[in-house]
Amino acid sequence: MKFFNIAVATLGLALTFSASAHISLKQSTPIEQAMLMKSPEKLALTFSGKVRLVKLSISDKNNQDVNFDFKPSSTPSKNFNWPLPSLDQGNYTVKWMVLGGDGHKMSGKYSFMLHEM
Amino acid sequence: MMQLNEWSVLLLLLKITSYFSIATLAGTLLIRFMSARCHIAKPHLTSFYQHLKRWQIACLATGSIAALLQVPIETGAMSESGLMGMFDSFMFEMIWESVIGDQAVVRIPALVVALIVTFMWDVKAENRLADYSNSAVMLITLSVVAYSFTFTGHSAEENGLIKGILIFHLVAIASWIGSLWPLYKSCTLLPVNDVKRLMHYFGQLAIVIVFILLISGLTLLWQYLHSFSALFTSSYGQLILFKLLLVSAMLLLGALHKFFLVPQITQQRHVDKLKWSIAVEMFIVLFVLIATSIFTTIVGPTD
Repeated sequence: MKFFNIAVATLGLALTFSASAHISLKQSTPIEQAMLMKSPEKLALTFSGKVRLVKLSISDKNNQDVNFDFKPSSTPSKNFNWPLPSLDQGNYTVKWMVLGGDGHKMSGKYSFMLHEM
Repeated sequence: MMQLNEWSVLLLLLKITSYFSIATLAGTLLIRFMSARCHIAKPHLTSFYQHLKRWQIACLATGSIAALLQVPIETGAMSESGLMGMFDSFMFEMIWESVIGDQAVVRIPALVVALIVTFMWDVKAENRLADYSNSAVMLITLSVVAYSFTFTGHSAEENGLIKGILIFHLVAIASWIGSLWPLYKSCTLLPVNDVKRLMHYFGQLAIVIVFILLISGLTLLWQYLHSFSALFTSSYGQLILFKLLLVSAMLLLGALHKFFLVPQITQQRHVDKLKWSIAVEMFIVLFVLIATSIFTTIVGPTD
């Protein structure tokens, strides 16, 4: 029975068919919760692994999308950046959705604020 | 953590179905191997094999359909635009070019070949060569299906050695849980003495299976687990603990069968008791599969 006791304790832990980290957003410009004094010149996103960026939007507090040059790409990459038009003061939310190299769909969002200039 | 919505539930169902497919492939193959060595009388063996064949056809046909639906459903989940999102050509192409498409390219033909070979399985055959050939092709398809699991999920970007260990781990657990339904049915379709011999043989092989699971599982743990405290503090860790509880129950039931129920078998009522116990184990397996599907589809170690 000793063998089975050891087996019971270990097997459950061991039954991780697979287990490494999901893709996440590692860095961004503007950074999360940034309080900016001037309009950001670009939006840059760095992920923890290669991803296909499927959706990306920047919306203001009225939920109006900012027009910028984003097009979904089927080429996987870790780093993405786009020039931004001049933004008005206010709160903005960046929403992203990616397909990771592991086949998982991941999404997230973060906000930044642009003060009166 | 991945968003939980109707698409992720569909993806979970597809994952569970894929686990059932590989478990049926591995389990049926193992039971065929054991039954052929248990000196079961031909009429009983034929009737048992006939049931196994029907069961395998049902599971592989369901598995093949699930594998075919994987890319369209992943496309729909990505599009987030209702059912019509499944037909979004740009998203479809993106999914097809990703590891999900690679997995489909490997898995669908393997399951279809396994299905065809199961149809061709002559359960009354006297020709051993034909039976061996049929089992050999089945073993190859099992290996290919197991390999397809390494394309996606948390292991997708690991090296070949880790993927190899994962394949052993997957085939070992699939053999175990895939044997439960055939063993359950053997309690009805085979005479008492044959059930006892089959269960005794399974008990011996289960030690090898548990050994492979231990070695491969510990290696994977050593590779992946970043901290012991994460087991208690993260949602992923808590799901592992939940699974630990379920697998512990499975092992305890396995020990109960091996050391108490099987040695007691002399009459049909003893077999009925064993059958009931296997049914409980199958019920636990269902929860283990659901928990594993959640691990590999929705929750990751960083959650």
